Amino acid sequence: MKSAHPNIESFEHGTSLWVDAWHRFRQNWLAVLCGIMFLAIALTCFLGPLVSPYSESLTDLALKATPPSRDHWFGTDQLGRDLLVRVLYGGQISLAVGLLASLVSVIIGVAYGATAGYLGGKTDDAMMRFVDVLFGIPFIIFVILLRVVLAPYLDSSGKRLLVLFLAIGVVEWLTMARIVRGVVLSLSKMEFTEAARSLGLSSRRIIFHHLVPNTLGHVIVYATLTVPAVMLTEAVLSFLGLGVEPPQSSWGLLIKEGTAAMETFPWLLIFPALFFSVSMFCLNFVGDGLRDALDVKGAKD
Amino acid sequence: MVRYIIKRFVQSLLVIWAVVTAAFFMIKATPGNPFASDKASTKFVVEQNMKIYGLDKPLSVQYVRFWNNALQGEFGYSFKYEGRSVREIIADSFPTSLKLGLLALAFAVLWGVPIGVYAAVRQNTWQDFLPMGLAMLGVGLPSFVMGPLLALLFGLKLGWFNVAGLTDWSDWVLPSATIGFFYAAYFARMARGGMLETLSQDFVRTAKAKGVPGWRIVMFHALRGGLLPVLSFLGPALAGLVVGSFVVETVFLIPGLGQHFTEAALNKDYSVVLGTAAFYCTLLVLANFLVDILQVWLNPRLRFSDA
Repeated sequence: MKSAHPNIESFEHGTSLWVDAWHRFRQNWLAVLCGIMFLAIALTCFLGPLVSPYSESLTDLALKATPPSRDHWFGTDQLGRDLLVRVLYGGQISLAVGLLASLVSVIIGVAYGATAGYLGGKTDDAMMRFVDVLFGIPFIIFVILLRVVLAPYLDSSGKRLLVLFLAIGVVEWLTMARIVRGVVLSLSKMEFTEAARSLGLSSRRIIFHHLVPNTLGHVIVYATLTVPAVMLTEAVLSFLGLGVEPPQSSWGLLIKEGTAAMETFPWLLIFPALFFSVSMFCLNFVGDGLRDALDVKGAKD
Repeated sequence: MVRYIIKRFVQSLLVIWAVVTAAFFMIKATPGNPFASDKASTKFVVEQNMKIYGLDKPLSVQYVRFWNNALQGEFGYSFKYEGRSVREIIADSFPTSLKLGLLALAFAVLWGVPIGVYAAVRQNTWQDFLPMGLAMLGVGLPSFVMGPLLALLFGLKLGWFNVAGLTDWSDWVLPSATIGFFYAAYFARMARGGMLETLSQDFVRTAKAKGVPGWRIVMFHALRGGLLPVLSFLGPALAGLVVGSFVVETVFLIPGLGQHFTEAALNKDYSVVLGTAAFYCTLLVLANFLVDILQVWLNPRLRFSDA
């Protein structure tokens, strides 16, 4: 029976939104290529240092800065440190800040937007007006202020990184909140929400168990676009000397150091810049591709 | 419309007040004495300094005095450069930053928008993908990557431009292109999206059916509606230009306000940080207000709904 009607079987199952989206995403070869490239970069950053014969802090003062060679693929810096390993370690920090700060912003944005959208009316008005107001504020200035104010407490590099995550995450949630609110607003007028309400479920349960899961497409798309935005902020701050500080490194910091030495040792600028730019480019294209595949409207910033 | 403008204006003033107040208390909450860092300074000197800068007064008095001065355009004196007032610093360096920002904006719009419009008209052909790909390269090249690379290529290797300072008109080219190229990518994306949506609407089809030539449809019928998304991006772009100026002024050693702000933040020159932060916030909130008004004015759908 089963083998006789394979088509009917598959008909019954239909295709879910996700399978559909995956098919559409695969058509977009540029986005797929970018996705693969980004994953390759991320994997190399986290696994590469494990197999490298050099460590990040290993200095070789006799060697000093040498151009790319067979021993040091990306060359070495003024202290004789292997640049490839430094770029990979810097990438770990840049990617970690990008992912964790995005996570912070996603949590705040989804919770805020869903609450506003579900409650509606005056509460929604007030909450969204607040977001409008925050949109007009030059946040980078506040992140810098925060760094200045907290400077005396930031005695360890761990604490500095933590503040960086939080500060960036706290300012990047606004667009997410707007998008989620819009989706939830339309969902909350649908029958299944009505049904959940008539069963006497609490608002919190309806929001987080019934509405938020349905916004997942929008959340994924916008989160993918938040990661490069966050990495950009981190890199700008590090470049200005207000983000990640030595002895830790990040792509932004390596680009800053490379800029200072570009006249004599251009490879110190070119390799970190290449890694950073390719990652930014890829993440943006994957985000755009996902938006088209999941047919998410209004996720444009 | 008038009601909307007044409402938005009052709102903007409230935002400025709230933001500047937050900045004021953040700076005041910074632990440690700003003058205690110099090893040479004795207790007497520190106290003397506190008195000169009015930091010995209670916080409420300082706050009232701050606003009193700020409303007259005064933000006190720099802690680090003796005798330099924050107002002088802003007056000296802001015109440079403003000129840089406007040139960068002009670059971004003139490079990004035509590409976006052209790509939309030729949707899904190589004449769409190639120019858009070129414009979208900017997404991976923010100012702190683009700046050093341009300086390296056109300044040091080819020798076409100076890499530091502002003496000749050509010295503006690299800095404004550096900031502009990144934003051009977003402008191109917005313009393409907006034009695609407008070109698919009924009134465009009607115009086509009536035999209006293609370029006329694009220029006179679709452009105004199609470029509305570009306009809405102008607000975020302005904030981005300020950040871009921080970076570019550092890279090309341009004596603008951005450099003063970042330097003051690194040197803990609190009065300069607070003054410039307040200045930037006011400027950007007011610029956003103007963009909003412009948007409503150009978009009849918003103008007649009581936005």
